[in-house]
Amino acid sequence: MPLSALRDRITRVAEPRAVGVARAAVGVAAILEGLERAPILERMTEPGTLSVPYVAGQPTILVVPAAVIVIAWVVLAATFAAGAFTTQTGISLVLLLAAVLFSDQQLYSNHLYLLIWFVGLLTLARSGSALSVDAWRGRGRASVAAWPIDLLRLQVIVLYLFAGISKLNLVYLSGTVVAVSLRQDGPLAVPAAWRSFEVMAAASFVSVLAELGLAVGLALPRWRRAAFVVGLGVHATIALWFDPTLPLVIFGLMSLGPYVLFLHDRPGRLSVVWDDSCTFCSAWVSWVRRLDWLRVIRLVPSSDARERERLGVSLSEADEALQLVGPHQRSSGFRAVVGILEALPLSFLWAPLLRFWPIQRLGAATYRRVAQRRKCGLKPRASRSSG
Amino acid sequence: MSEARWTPRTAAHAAIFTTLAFLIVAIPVVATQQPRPARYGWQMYSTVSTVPEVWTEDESGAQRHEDITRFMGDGRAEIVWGSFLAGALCAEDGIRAVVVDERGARERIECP
Repeated sequence: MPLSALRDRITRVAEPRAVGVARAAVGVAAILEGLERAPILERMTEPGTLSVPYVAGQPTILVVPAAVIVIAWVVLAATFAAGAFTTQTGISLVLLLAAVLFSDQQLYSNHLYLLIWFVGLLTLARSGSALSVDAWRGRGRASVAAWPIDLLRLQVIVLYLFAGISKLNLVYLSGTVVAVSLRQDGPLAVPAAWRSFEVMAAASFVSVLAELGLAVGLALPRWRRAAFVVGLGVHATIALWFDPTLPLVIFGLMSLGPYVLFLHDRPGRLSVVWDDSCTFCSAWVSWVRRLDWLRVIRLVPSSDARERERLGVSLSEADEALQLVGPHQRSSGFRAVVGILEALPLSFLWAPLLRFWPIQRLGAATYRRVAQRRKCGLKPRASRSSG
Repeated sequence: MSEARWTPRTAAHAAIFTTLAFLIVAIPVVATQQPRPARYGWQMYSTVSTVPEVWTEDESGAQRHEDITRFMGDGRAEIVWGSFLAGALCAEDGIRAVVVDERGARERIECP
């Protein structure tokens, strides 16, 4: 990378809200990981349990009672998730997790190792700058350095890339790993009759394609919407159909949380023109305002003629349907709703599914019916206001 | 044209960025050269993992299959268990040797 390009990358700044959302998600995953690891830590301190150090005579955190380790872990993770004293708790949590990871070979887990990377990079990214207790206390920042966020994105991509590459072996591609890992009992158990070589091998190939596809899709902006859906599908599938459940749920939360960093989060990037003479629309808009944690949506009432015209939206268009105007997009009605949902942290992972033709068609018909039958308590249009 | 300049702070950040980016990529690359599943390589569910089979041999030469899970905090497949298990089993009375069948190889370890 030429030095000038490196310098430009290092000096770029980013909005802090997306990294705040990622911090909260990873922090919650860290809490759950601590509770999930607790029985293993307890077992490690029992008499008769082997010690398997990396180096003979190395220091170990296991001289501390397991309960103390877990309590410290959960308290630090909760504080980090809330974004209180984020830098201090982030550093402390990384040190504690690393001490656990490197104390004994039996304490290694890929989830714990990934957690260390994510918490460390989120701490570097000053993820307590927004959507945090720190910000509420007046210690927020309007912008953060972008380079730690670039590293977070890189780590997510590398995770899927090597998860896929490592499965390119005969044992995995034969379907054996999938067959023995699938749930054996309970309502979601896969019947033994379905665990044939053909089915399991096919599932294995699909899983490798999915992981490699995720690495590529997240890296390329054009394919990110598809990658969001595939990622949600991959993690939901393994959490539902594979054993053990809790670690896979935690892994899903840990991996999906940083996906928000792949969204375009420039404030006011999307303008939504809505009919402010209608109370039904006002109620819907208030929900959008509440859920727009990244503040990417600028709500423009149709009564604001100057702003509406600047966006190229006529009054009749605004009265007929919701209008979404973005840098390279213009949509109305149900498509505008989908565009909004794709920008909100709670829905961006699954909202692209609404673009599939059958769903899109049903959604458009439903939108038209709702728009025609909406019972609006009409209110006078404000003379001039902004969203 | 960028107006950013190199400052000591910028240079430090660039060094950290470059180092971390290198580690994020290089560590799993190195892990691909190790037997599956290797640590630090994101090789989750990449192969079927089994714990080793272990037998103890008493003074008369009779062998007995051992349940080694009683020694394990967590039976990680990345660990080469042989020497650790042998050390624990040899500490028990009457054990002359430990036979470990692990990763496709069988080894007989004499107790000291």
